[in-house]
Amino acid sequence: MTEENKKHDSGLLGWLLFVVGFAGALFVGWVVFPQLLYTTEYQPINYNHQIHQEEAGLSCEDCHYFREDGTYAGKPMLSACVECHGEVQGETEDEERLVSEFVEPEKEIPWVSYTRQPDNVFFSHVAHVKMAEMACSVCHRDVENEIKAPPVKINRLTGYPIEIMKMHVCEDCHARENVSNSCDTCHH
Amino acid sequence: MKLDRRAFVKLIAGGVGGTLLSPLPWKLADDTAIWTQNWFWRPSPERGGASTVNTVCQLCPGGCGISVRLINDRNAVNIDGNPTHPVNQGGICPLGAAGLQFLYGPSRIETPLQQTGKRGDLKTFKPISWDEALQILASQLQKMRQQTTGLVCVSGKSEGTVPELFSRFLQAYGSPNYLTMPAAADAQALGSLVSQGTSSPIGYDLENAKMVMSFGCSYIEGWTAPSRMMAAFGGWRSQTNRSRTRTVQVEARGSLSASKADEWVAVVPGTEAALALGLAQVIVSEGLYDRSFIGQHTHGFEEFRSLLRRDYTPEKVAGITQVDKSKIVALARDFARTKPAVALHGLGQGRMPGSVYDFLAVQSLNALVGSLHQAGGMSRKPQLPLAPWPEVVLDATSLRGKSAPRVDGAGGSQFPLSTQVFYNFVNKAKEGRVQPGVMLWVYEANPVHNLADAQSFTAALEKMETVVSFSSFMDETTQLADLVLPGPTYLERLEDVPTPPGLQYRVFGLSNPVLNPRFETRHPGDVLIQLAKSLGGSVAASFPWSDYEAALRERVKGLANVPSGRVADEPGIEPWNVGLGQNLEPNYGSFDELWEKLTEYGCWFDTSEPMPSWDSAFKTPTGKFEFFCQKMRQVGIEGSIVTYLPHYAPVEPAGDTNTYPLVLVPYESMAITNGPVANPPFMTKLLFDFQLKGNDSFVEINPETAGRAGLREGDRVELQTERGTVKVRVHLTQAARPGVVFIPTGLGHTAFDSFIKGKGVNANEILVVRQEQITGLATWWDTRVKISKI
Amino acid sequence: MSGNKANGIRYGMVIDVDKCTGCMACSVACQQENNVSFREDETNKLRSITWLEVYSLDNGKSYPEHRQAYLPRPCLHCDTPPYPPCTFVCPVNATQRDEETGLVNHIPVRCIGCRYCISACSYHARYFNWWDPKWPKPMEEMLTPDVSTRMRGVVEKCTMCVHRLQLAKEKAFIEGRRELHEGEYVPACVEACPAKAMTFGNLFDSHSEVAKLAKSPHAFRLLERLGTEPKVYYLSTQDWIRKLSDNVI
Repeated sequence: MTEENKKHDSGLLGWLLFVVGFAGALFVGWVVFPQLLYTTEYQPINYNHQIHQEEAGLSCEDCHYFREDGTYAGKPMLSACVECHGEVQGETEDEERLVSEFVEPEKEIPWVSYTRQPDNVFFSHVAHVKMAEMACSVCHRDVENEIKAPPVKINRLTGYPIEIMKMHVCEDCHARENVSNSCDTCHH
Repeated sequence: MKLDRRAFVKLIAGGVGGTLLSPLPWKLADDTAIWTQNWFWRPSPERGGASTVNTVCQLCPGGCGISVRLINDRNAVNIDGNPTHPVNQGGICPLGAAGLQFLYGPSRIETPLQQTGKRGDLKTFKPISWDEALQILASQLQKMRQQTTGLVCVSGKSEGTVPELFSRFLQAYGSPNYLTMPAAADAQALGSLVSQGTSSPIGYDLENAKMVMSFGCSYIEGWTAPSRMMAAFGGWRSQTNRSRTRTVQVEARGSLSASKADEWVAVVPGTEAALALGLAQVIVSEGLYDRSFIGQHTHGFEEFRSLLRRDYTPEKVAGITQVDKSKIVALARDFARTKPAVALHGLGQGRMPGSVYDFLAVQSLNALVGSLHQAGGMSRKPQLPLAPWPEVVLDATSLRGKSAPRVDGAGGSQFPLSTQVFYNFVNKAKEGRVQPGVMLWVYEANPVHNLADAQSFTAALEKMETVVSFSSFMDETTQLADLVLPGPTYLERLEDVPTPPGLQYRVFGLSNPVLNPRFETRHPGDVLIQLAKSLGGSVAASFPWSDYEAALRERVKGLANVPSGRVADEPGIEPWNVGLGQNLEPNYGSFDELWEKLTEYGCWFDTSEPMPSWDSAFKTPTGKFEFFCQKMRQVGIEGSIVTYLPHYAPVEPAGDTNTYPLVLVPYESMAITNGPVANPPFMTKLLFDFQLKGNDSFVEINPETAGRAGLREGDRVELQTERGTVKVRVHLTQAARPGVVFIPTGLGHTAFDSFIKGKGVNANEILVVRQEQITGLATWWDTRVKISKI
Repeated sequence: MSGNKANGIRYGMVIDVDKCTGCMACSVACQQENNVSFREDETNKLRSITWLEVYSLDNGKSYPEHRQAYLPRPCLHCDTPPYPPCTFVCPVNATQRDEETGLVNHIPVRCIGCRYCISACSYHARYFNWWDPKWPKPMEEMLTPDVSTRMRGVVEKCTMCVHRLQLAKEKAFIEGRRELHEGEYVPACVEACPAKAMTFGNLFDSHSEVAKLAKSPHAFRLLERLGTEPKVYYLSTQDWIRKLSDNVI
């Protein structure tokens, strides 16, 4: 081999390695990293939104309602479940576990939140839903026909669920709608 | 093919390039930023629905309505004043606002405890079950019942159904030895008895008074019902017209009560009553008194007039109190001419009985200006129309107990008037002069810390065979108990809170449990009922109720049976504006409705008890208000004519003036609680660094006094009295009277939690208690003291 | 004052020093309401956090002409145009004045703990967390979820209980209102005061109690000469209190 060839060879190899490095990093960054960054958490028992609406005749507001003082109840407490599930009604395994693991020992169900915000963030549902007339599905997934509650991806570093809304989203909309962007509107 | 340096660099460059075009660095940086704000190690309180439950505070007898904010009906997160409650009108005192620090405090007792080792050793307290605890107690009581006087009960509460149950238990069991913690109310009850024929507590129509003269009362610093007083003060200061209520404070220390008064009259400590008599003399000699009342409804005015003329001329009183003669005259004229004017009794917060004559002196001033039983004056606290319980069932043993002499000698030949002589019990027990085998019960009280001359009570405790504490907290007294039967805190229990001290209208507060008891505690009322049942016989028959709630309901039925009274269900109710004697249309139709509303709002009130008519006002032998108290003579108290008249009868401080050149006076404030609970962290935090620094507490002295003793601000000193020695630091202030050392009470705890334990010294350890000869009532206002730099 | 006076809101407070009995219920209520931490030894006042600090004043005269008074001092929420001194210096925008309400906020999670604002504040109204706040285990249960707890290394201060404003707004919203009635939003200290010495409301609303009191001839503000335009007014008929309150803090 001539010197030139050698040079050429190593140049080729070099560029090959560059591509390998480049592709590998892209792979790590786009595929491996997200896998590593998030853990998947499953709900303690499955909640079937569809069956509760269709068969039990519940409306959204039966569980997700505004309290008299304007605060939002969010996820229902165990007491709401007990109203019907004091004893096992159907045949699913989840319901059996609901009764034996939570209703009987009077333990709140540790639902995993899909949109948990840190404790210094105070989001007013009534301001957005009632006053600004925003639909729930602007921020939350549509659960109307949901049979199985999906697992929640939680960021290992921040502890937040993957679907969390970031502050710039809030700020952009508040600016557009000419609503106060003062810090203490949401943080205290 | 060889991987040379260049190739390697290319690999890395590719990697870097790829990484930069992937979300990895950017996401990682952003998440890291979020992570730094994710303070996982500090608590993040549970969110949920908020609710408010109304109840009544029981941290002092002040009876404020409070609203507790709960999250998920489970976690109490805030206490506010209840705006519908007439006593505090929505306001709250610092202790009440810090109430959750007791509910969730680290010194709560979680189960019944039995001392298995040496008394006072916390490590040998053994948690036992309630069944076990009650069985131990019942069998011991059963055994003891042969010598029935052997049970002594000290209650920190004097009114309400639970203290009544304690006293009832003692009656049924056969012991006359029911004691309440000493208080100014003791002197007031005796004073009212001898001069008016009834021993009911005092009420003041302060909201309607135009001049309020306080004889040493810390009237805005915790005297009687603290929040009521502060609300009344705010009301006086809101009056903008020319006839606004003026306040005069007679006190040795330039306290907040003194500073905030329109006039502060600085007197020699302990001579407050002498000043009252000085004013009386001016009012009488200048003919400024209420002639129609004095002429028609009083007895012994002439004797009183001659005594005043002889002993309480402005010159003489100026000599005793060191108040200018001209000032005495001016004050007297002002007091007599301002209508209505009222004089207040009870030094400090009213924790010290003092002399019965001090009360008679202050009361005589009210009588002279016609302020007795009048709007804006001094009256009786009206009684609540509660239904009576069935009579106590007595057997041979309890009948014997009923007539047995009391352990404190009250009602006996030495103290015929008195219903209790607390320090006689303490001193006799300390010296081993009570029978062996005494069992002591302590309820809602912490005498080992709170009683003046605290060591004497501790010594007395050592002589007790068994000590049983009903406390919710590991306080100093409970630490020394043999058996602990912890009660739930006021936020976890049902209990009545009767009319607070000093009120002129009827109030019945109902304290509701706002949450389930956090620990294995049991209501003392229930404990007594269960105990009575296991003793059987007449004791059980005296407690026919299934539980405390049944017993309470039975009494409350009385409220539903009277035609007047309302549940306070709207903000801004001012009963004193209704006018006493006015009927109130009940806002409930039946007892059940009343009970339901009471549990919702917490307060029933009534203004219907009229000011007594003059024919029935006084139950004295003459049917009149007696300056000359015949009752004293009737019960066999002997002495010169002065003995039966209001006069200034100081009990000389102990110790000689050469060894102890200064005078030590305790002072109480809103900043440090003196009740059965210790100061909560929120309040201790707010003490100024000239009140508490590290673990050192400060006494106040005048710079002049300090200069003479060679002391500078912050110097460490030793205070020595005949009773003992404590080490403190000095704070130099012109609020202190020259020659007087002012020491704060409520510090120096040796129990409770690390937020209060060991902070400052307990003033009670160096106060010297003296007893009044005819009543046995205790005085510790002024103690001779020596101060030396260390 | 900045802001639109015609229909704007400037929340402010009036404290009647003559009515104040010095009981400190305001300061205790504040600590409970805002999850303010406490330590075993709080006697080093330079390290102690009290959003509403109570100062002790005296007239400097000898016994028995001596008089004392207590002066409660929340954050004064200065209306200094264009910025309050404390927000002006913040390098990270962790503290701002909300121009819709006039309230000066401080967001601890954003704070980097440089303490520049503490030195800029003329009223010592800002506090630094020298330690991580800690509550004895059972006492964590009394913490309110309405205010997030802080950590060591950040500044905190009185927010005029701005969370109560948000809660009051939610209540109004559910009832279909955008406007708040007077008295719907009141900070914990004002609510607690047993002598009713504290009044809170919109200073721009000439019908409000607070606006009337602020115009009283007895009204004054702390260190008024600095031009910080505090929105907390004090009332006293005593000259010595008016004079001293310009020096003592």
